[in-house]
Amino acid sequence: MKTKRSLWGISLALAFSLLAMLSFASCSSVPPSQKASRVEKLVEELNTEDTERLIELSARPFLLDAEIINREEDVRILWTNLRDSGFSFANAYILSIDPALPAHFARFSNDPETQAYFEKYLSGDAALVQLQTDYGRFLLLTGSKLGRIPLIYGFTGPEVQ
Amino acid sequence: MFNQSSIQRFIAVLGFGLCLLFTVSAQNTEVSYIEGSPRLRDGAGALSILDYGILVRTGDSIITGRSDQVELIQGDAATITVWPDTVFTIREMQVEGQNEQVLTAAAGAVGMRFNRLAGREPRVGTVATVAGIRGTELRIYAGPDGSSLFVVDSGLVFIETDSSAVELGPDQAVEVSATGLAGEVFSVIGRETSHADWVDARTQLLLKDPVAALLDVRFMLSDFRSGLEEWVMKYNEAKIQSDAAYAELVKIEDKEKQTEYRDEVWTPLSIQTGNSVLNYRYYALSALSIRRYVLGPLYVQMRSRNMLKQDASYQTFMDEYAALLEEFRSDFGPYLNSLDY
Repeated sequence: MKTKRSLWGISLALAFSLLAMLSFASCSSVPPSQKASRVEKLVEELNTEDTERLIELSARPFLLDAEIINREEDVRILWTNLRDSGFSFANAYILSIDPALPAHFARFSNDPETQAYFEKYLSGDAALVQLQTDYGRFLLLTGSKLGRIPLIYGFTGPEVQ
Repeated sequence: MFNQSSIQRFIAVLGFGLCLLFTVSAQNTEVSYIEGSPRLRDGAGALSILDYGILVRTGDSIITGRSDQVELIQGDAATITVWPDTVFTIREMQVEGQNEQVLTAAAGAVGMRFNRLAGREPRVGTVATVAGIRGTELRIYAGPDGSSLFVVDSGLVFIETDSSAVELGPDQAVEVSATGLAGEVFSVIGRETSHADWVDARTQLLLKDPVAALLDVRFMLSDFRSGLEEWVMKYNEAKIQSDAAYAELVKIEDKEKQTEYRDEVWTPLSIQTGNSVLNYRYYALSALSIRRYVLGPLYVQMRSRNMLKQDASYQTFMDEYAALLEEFRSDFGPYLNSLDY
């Protein structure tokens, strides 16, 4: 009787361990940069946080269309001007999230500098996020993370539809 | 007697020697003080956090953020302060048969103190203007439009552009436009120039007529295109001569005569070819600096200010910008590679 109970206990423990491992594996297999809820949080912060926070959330070099931005000051100018002009990724919703591979550079901008950026500067978990907003459709590059939030590596848009 | 493979080995050694010569001939630049988390971008484009004791080499850039500052030393000869929000680069070119370092504030501001009064000193400047110096302490500010401000604290600075030449003494300053025109020399006594205020004033001017600013960028690029074309031509000539000499070299059967021919004819021609590459690369990389630190930030300004309001003047700017970018890619692209970006 005692043996039967202990076997039941071991099986239960094994089942729980397996469940925990599976849930851990599912969490760790999708990086924040490719996870919709984390990208939504990033976009929310991009729309509401102050410029200093946006600089923290921006990778450097940063890619705006075909422009590689190396200097922190130029990233600051970008976010400050966007904020001052009233722009945000307003009412954004995610249309798609795909892993960003070096071969995908032309989806952003088809030129040698953008190609080099995709080859050299993107993190291994980078993603191309298609975002629909009140101001049109944007393509965001996300990757790496700061705490639980992915960094923004660049954006282009709005796309002509 | 030399065989083909021994000559190939010699070529490889010569190539390595030339690289080493270019590296060693330049003053070693060492990091002596760091504030914040500045970054080093090496000649291959790899980014890393700058650390104490690192040797900054020809082709490297130091990039500082708002809270960063770096001090570099070149032995007892020079101290260089890289101030916040700056991109400082070290390049090299051949001038009158000698390798010369060119220390550049591609963006932002640097301070330099040179202790020696004699000997060959590096050339210093911004993306558009390069100055010669003699035992000097000076500050160099790079404007967002490609203009430069030189402020001399002690010693002498001699600034020579295609269109003007100016000598500055202690407590004197001069502004040089993106097109190389030097303004009036003025005294800085009682008129301390803050980098931030100066950049702000230049930015306001720039934004009043951004299309005119693009014309200035085109002018700066055309200047580098002339230098590039001159040295590509010299490279092609040197390469033809060097290849012909090599063809002769492998035909010589007598080992002694081959060594003599190699040392007296082929090696100098090969070095000449290498020097031409060094110089045309200098012009191509300088053009890339203008593209990255003048044209790029101008685009960022215009794009981010006009995301919601794109009128005719904005469209004119964008059309001019696209044309200029196309010119840059066609003129300089063949002489740049993915590591440079």
